[in-house]
Amino acid sequence: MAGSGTAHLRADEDVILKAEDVVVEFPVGNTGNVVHAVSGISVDLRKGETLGLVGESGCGKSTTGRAILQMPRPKSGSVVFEDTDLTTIEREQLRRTRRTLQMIFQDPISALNPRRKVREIVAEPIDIWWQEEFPRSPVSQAFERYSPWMTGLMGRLWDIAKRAMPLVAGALVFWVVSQAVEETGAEDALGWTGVAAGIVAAVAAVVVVPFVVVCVVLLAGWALLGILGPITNIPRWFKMRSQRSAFNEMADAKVREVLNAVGIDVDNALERRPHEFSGGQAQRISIARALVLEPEVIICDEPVSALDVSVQAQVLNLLEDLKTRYGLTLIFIAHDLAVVKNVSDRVAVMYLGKMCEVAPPDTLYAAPAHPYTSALLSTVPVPDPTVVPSTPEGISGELPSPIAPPSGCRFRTRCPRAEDRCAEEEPAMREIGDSHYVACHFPLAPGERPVSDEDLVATGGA
Amino acid sequence: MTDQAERHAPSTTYSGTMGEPAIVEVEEEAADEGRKAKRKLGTFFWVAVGFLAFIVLAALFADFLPLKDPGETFRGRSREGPTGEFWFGNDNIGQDIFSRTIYGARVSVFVAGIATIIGIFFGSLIGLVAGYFRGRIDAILTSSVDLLLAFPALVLALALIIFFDNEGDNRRFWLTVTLGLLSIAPIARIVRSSVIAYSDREFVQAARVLGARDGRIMFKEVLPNVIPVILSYSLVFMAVLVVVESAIGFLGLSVPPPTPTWGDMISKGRNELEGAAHISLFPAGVLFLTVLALNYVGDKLREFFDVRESVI
Repeated sequence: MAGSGTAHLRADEDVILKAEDVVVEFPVGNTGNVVHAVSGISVDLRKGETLGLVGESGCGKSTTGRAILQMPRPKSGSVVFEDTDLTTIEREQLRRTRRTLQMIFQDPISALNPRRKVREIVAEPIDIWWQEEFPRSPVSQAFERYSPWMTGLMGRLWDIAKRAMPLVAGALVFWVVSQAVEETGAEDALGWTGVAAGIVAAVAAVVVVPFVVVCVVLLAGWALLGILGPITNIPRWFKMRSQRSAFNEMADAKVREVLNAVGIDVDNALERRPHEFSGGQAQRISIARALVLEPEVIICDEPVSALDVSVQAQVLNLLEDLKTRYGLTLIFIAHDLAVVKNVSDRVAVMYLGKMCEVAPPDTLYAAPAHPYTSALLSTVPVPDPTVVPSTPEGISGELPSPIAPPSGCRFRTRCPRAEDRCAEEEPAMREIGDSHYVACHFPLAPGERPVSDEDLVATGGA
Repeated sequence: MTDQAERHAPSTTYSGTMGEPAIVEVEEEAADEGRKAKRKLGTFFWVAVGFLAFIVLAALFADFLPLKDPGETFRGRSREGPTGEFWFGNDNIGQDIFSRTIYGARVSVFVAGIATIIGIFFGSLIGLVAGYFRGRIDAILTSSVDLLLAFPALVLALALIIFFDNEGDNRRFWLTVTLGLLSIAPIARIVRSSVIAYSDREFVQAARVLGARDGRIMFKEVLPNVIPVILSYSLVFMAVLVVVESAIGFLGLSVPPPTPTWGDMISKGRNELEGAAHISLFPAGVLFLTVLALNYVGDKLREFFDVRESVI
């Protein structure tokens, strides 16, 4: 499963987003270890298509979604959106591009600021970009341009200062000792102490004093820009104020339009705060906020997992409807296979930061080729009371630690079909049927007995 | 649409006017009830607020109130207990303790109040930046703050006051500045921890996806959530500063005589505690009540502003 490889990427004209070999790693405290959250995932998106991303909890599907939005930026790999590589562009350019890529979060209540009214929440995106039309003063722009550079520099200087601390302390100790030696007149016996102290003090003076001076000058300049920035922006503020009411009218109309589109009772909702809504309503408001900027791609990070089943269906229908109405392209992240099957045009199965299988949902669900996909499908409840579930516990074994993932194919520790080759060689993505791709050395042939969760090898905390 | 309806049976209507009106109604009532329940602050809260308002107003308008001159010594009345004319009695040189307590509030309450405002302003700014950006900016700011906190506050306060204002000619101003500087560090810590909790929330990430700048996220998304915490702590903080100011006054380093301060008044009575305890006890009592009221109001306000966040 550990499939890296990009065989499943398409070279079409209408592919609008292509992520290649995306790697995301998180440090584990100060241990020097890293969590290999996403290790070389490649996905692409055609305009108007819905890509379903499924896998167990902790397999890196949400991280993949966020990596596409550069939150945080992936460690390596590329994310090309409409001919721009998001991983290399500047922060400011990224900020501007990101509004065409929106996100819907799992917990709708947490995704809405509890202190703001629905009107403000939904109007916020329009407000942000309306304010962008009024250029900031040059001073303020300079401050913004140099701030990341300044903070980076300050951080580096801080690291140096931290390392130099023993040097400064040592110089102090030497100085004190040499003073004491001079006082007691033992100079002749311990002459080297004075010399050493002199040398260290001189070095400290030559190094430390200019260092401190440079730091102070840089900081002062930066602080001055920071203080002057808002002051020079006052005319801009007045200009904005004069056009505020016209904007508010425009924003209000837009807010009403999208809230209507997501089925929220507008007049009732505008002046309310998020905690006054149910989960389903809050998720609609989240969707409205994502829609306001008329994005091209929306990444839905488990948008219905937190909702109860009847509301799930409503929100899914809504997404489907909005997709056609606004011409959206969706990445739909979920752990619920049934949900993904219904909404997706293409499904990608992930396991422990790697891609297992990519196929259209009908193919994938009818003839899964990867043992993991097959096992995953066997856990989907069947709405038939006469069917006895194979194991009540679900898939056996635990996800191996993403800090030290298994060699070769990452699924091999739980795979009933694993052989020596799986430990040595990582399987690459290859096409096994019509737009059906799998990363496995020993895929299931169509019609073969599917792998049930009972077949999975229980991993004993390996 | 029919296709989708089949897919997700039972399909529920979600569009426009049909959208869950019944549920909205029910929740409206529940929310109103919740709001009403929250509005109750209790009688004692209003008593405390009333007391604080009385102290502040009396201190502000002391000159216009029918009070005795706080500097006037009434011959033959020294160490006399409370009477109808002198409500709190007279001190060891015969001055009116009631009038002096009111005038003393000017120093205590206003020094503490303005110092708190200074501390809140800079402390919140530091805490906000440190908690929002994290990383090395946080490391730098937090270690500077820790450095300040490592000094014993009262000793540092005394040292700073002497350093700023050795002659004592502008003691009120420098006292305020010193106390303000000293309150920056603890406030920055409180704000920082609160900001960290909110900066991880999804609505902050959502704002980032929408393209909001860091400044906007800090002030529009994070700060409004932190302000209630800041406000309620600010009152508790003011209480601490009132005590600190009195302690400094007790040590004789607050605003010099003849201006009355609570600390100075308590200090003057300490040798008379056996014979004429009221000299110390009345200003100490007012000090105690002020601090208690500030703490209580601060706590209640924090409870009051705690936003309910419904769980799905």
